[in-house]
Amino acid sequence: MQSSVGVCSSSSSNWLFRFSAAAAPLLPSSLTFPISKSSSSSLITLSTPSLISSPLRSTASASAADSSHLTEMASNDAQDPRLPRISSAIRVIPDFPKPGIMFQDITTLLLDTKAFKDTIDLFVERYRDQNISVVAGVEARGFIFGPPIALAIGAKFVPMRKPNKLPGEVISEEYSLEYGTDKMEMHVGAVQAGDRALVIDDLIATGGTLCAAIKLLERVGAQVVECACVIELPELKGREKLTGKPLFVLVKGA
Amino acid sequence: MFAEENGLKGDPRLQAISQAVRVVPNFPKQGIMFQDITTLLLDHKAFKDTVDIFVDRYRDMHISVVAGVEARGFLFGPSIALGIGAKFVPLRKPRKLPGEVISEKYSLEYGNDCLELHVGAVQPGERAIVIDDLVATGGTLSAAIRLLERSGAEVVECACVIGVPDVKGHCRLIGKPLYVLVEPRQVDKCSRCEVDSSFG
Repeated sequence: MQSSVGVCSSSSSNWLFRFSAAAAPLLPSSLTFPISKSSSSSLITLSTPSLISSPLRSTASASAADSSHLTEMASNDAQDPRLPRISSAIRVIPDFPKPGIMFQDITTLLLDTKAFKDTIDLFVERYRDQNISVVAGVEARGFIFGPPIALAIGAKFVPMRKPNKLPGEVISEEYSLEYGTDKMEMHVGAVQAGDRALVIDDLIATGGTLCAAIKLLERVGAQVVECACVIELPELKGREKLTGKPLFVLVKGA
Repeated sequence: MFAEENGLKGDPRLQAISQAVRVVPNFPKQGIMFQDITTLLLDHKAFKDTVDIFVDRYRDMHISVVAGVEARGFLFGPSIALGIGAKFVPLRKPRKLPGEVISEKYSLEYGNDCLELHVGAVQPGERAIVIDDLVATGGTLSAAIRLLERSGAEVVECACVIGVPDVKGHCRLIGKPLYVLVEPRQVDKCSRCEVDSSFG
């Protein structure tokens, strides 16, 4: 889910020219995306939590404390060197799906093999020693990032789907959209009480989708350790909707 | 062609993969024995083996594009792409991809559907594979192949976890080699189901 933020960046429809005019046309198969911090980039990167000594908390913590912690990190100049390339590889498409929305398109990240691998590695490094038994990925872009993470950390992958897609018995959670509601479903029996879970999606906007996923997991007795997204749109305050669960993101849309 | 006939005869991983798939009768409608791969994703070893078998096959074939069909192709394709050093390209239902796209219609039993690919994601001359969880009629895979070929790519093979034994028919339909790990099961001998009765 996306909403209106930020300043319109450079031309959107031709992804070769996603960056400022100073960038020469890219060979599409090239991995040499410019690492651009120009004003045309609407993404700023966070330093990664691997730089902090404090481990993940295993109990729910106040999101205010967490977000102030991350804000401190953002002002810390020491930044994981993989993040600028990841940020630059994300394409911004203005006015999709409707006027005023700056859509953060991760498909270009998937075309940059190094940046995609680095994205997965950053999550795997964070979670591999946290005894995570379930990675829950939200349809459909959560299906792209979740399974590689699950495979690398030895966890199950559980798809959280739109209604009527999962064939077996499901539990459902309704959540709000800008207009109306939608439903998210999870298979009965996929997750057990006591499972330690992550929720993965490409982006957090209002937090409604992630909140529904957290509720489904908690209804079956799982412990949601953290939510993890590639991108956060902080102006939409989705972080506050996560019922106290921590949120980890790689880049922020400003 | 089935993995068993192509170098993996007797490979114990294939039996475990087959048994990790759950069969759900009469979904989405009467008479269909739905092959549910979500139980495979819950079995870490079987899921990892699935990806490893595809990675081992394609790693030295100079594949630069792994195209995955929405949405269950997204569950397997990215891990394979990462394993072989290729790009991952999602093939999506209409109006999901935000940039400029090319579209390809294909037939369903009743009516049509459509797959889309971002312009610029695939370059002429790239060697591509198409991934989905299951091949039935081959209609979706055919549309995927056409999209990639319209972008100038060479589709080397289509790869699915599950496929019916009418492999020669499929190859004729889609015009490309097809590589499949296991056949669909008719009855539910799902290994997870024997363990967890709530998963009936």
